[in-house]
Amino acid sequence: MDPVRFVIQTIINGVAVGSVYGLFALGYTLIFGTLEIINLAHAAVFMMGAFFSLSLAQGTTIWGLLDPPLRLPLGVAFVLGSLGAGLLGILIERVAFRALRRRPATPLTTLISSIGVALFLVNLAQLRFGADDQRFQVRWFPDWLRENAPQWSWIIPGSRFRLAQVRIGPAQVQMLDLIILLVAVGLMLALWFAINRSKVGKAIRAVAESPRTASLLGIDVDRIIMTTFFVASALGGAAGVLVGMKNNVSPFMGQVPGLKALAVIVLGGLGDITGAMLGGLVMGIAEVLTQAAGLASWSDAVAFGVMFLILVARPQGLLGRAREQRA
Amino acid sequence: MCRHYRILLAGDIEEEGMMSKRRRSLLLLLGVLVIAAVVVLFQILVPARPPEPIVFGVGLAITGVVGTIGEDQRQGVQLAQDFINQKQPGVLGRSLSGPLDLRIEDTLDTTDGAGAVIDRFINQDRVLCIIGPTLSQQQFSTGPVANTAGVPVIGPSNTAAGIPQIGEFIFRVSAPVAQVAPNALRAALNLFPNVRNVAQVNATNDAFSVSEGGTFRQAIADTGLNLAFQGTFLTTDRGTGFDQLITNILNNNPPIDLLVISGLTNDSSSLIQEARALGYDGPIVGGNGLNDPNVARLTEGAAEGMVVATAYFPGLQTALNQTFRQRYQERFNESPGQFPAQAFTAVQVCAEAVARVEASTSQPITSLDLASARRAIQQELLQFSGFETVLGPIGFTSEGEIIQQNAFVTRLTVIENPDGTISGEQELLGG
Repeated sequence: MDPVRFVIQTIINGVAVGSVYGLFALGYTLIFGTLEIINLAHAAVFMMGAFFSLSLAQGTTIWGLLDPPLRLPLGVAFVLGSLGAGLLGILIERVAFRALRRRPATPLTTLISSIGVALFLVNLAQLRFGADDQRFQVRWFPDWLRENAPQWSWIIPGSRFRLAQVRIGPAQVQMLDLIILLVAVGLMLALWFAINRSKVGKAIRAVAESPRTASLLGIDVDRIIMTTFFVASALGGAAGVLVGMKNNVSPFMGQVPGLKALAVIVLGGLGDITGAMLGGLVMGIAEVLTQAAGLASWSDAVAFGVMFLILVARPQGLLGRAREQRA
Repeated sequence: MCRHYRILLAGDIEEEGMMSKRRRSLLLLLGVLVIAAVVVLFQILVPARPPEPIVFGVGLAITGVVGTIGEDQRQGVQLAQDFINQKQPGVLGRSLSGPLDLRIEDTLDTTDGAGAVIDRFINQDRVLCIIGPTLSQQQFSTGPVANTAGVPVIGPSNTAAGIPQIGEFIFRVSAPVAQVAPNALRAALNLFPNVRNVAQVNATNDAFSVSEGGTFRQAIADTGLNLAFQGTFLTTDRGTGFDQLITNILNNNPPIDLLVISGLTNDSSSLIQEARALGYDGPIVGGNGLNDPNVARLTEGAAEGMVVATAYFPGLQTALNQTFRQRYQERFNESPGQFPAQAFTAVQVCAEAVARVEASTSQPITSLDLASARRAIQQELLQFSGFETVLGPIGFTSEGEIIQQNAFVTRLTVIENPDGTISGEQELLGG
């Protein structure tokens, strides 16, 4: 075994898994940071995003309305699927959270409401798409990612059921992994800039600080919350499509990453965007390193063990601020 | 005037009294006639008490990660019910005293889900026998409950070691991995005689995959091959992929010539797809979870050439199997795989045991008390030997283990359909 090759490949695997966890966790943390509620329906939004995209890529008649079926290129399907997940997020906010927020309900009530939405969506997906796993077919990917990949020395062309691969030093990685990595990191950075540099981002931060004060300052709080749900859900949906492209799409695909992403936001510091990205990477790399050591059955235990140790040392999470004690 | 009136009145009363007496007896007669007519009509129109249905409980993992298997099994048992209730001539020929009523319930893929369903079958639906649950893991949890309650159970797809040993009421029609799996390895060796170094991987959080993994390792040792890599994964890894496991396999020293996989259908399919995508080009031997032509579609053709041992071969040339296959194709528009065939067999075997009990006691099984009926079925099941099913002739050992004469090994062929979709067919290598 070539140790250099092995290490490079392992790191790339870990970063790829971790970036998807991070992307997923951003949605959780954005909503938590703004509203202080854990939206457990986020895992279902992740799954629905994947199904939206898959339906658009494989051709959908939208319940028989379209003839011939609408079939879109993969990139377009990815964008529309993510936006669809964002719209679903708005719907969830209107149906499951807004009324509770006005009441105002306890965090436990909103948590249970979000569990209800999650169950509903998973069952709906099962009814509409079946319990069977489905795939983004390799032939839907553009030619230049398969057989007709550019003839550069560091690219190994793909085949009928294989995407091209990229040589990094002595290691080989799937082009798809690199694309997932780039898209995930790109989206994270875009969100970071949007939150910290844009006007809407400023408004979101203001609402997160205090909805009442924000409202007094003339910010339309309901609209900002709706925007937050849209952005968070669109990111979750995008993560769903990326995971779906790499693995399979099924109504249950959100369950495990959903649980891990919860751990990731705790690890990164609740409500902290950079923390969620960092937490995702730590989680992904810890998991993959365990698998690399041949202890795959322990990977979940080690990932959560790392979280436990970090929280013992830093209870507020990696980047979270300690809560102020108020007299 | 007044007197006259009184006389008249008296006469009227007398007359009225006589009339009402006559009317009363007339009414009485009429009433009797009406009742008699109703009784006669009732006897003509309504036949004697309808035969009581014969109730079996069928608990399958129709949704959840093994939903593909549960759905296939549901189709198998539904077809068996049709065959039996329509009394297909020459097929499942023996008739029962009442219609077969299958209570089909979804157990999900969890032991809790199975527990709730089996409990309901035993205590609420008061079934004569139980078919299911789908997973060995579930059977290990619910089998002891059914056994204590004295309800015969037929496992339609439990292949882990130790299932019939749960108790005297637990049977299975799915040949255990210990019998089936080594055949696949031997067949692969015939196809690829140069294979030396084997990588064996299995899921560790699923009882059947663990059991099958052990069987494969034993078979690898028995055939003199070198177990060069042994890997594990979790059924939950499907969410994030198997990249690292494949990286480990590809970087193994000595290089791997054969990959042996034990896991549930969807997980194993993902694993194969990724192995091919990352560059593993060697042969693949699949366990029972991969014994499904759907794997061709799930892996998008990457599983082409995969060798799998199977307990059922659709091409088996018996009248029963040909009819089964034809009806299955007509009704569900697909070829039956091992899971529907075994589920079909489970219902067939149970119904046959009921028919035998009814023949020996000369009365409907529903007229026996429930505990005796269940016990009688269990006793009849033990007598099965060389009984004709779609799996070929089968019987049971005194422990309730299946004795199956046919064993098949297949190779997966991938078919690209004109509409761009992919389907698979299992080609027989040896039987």
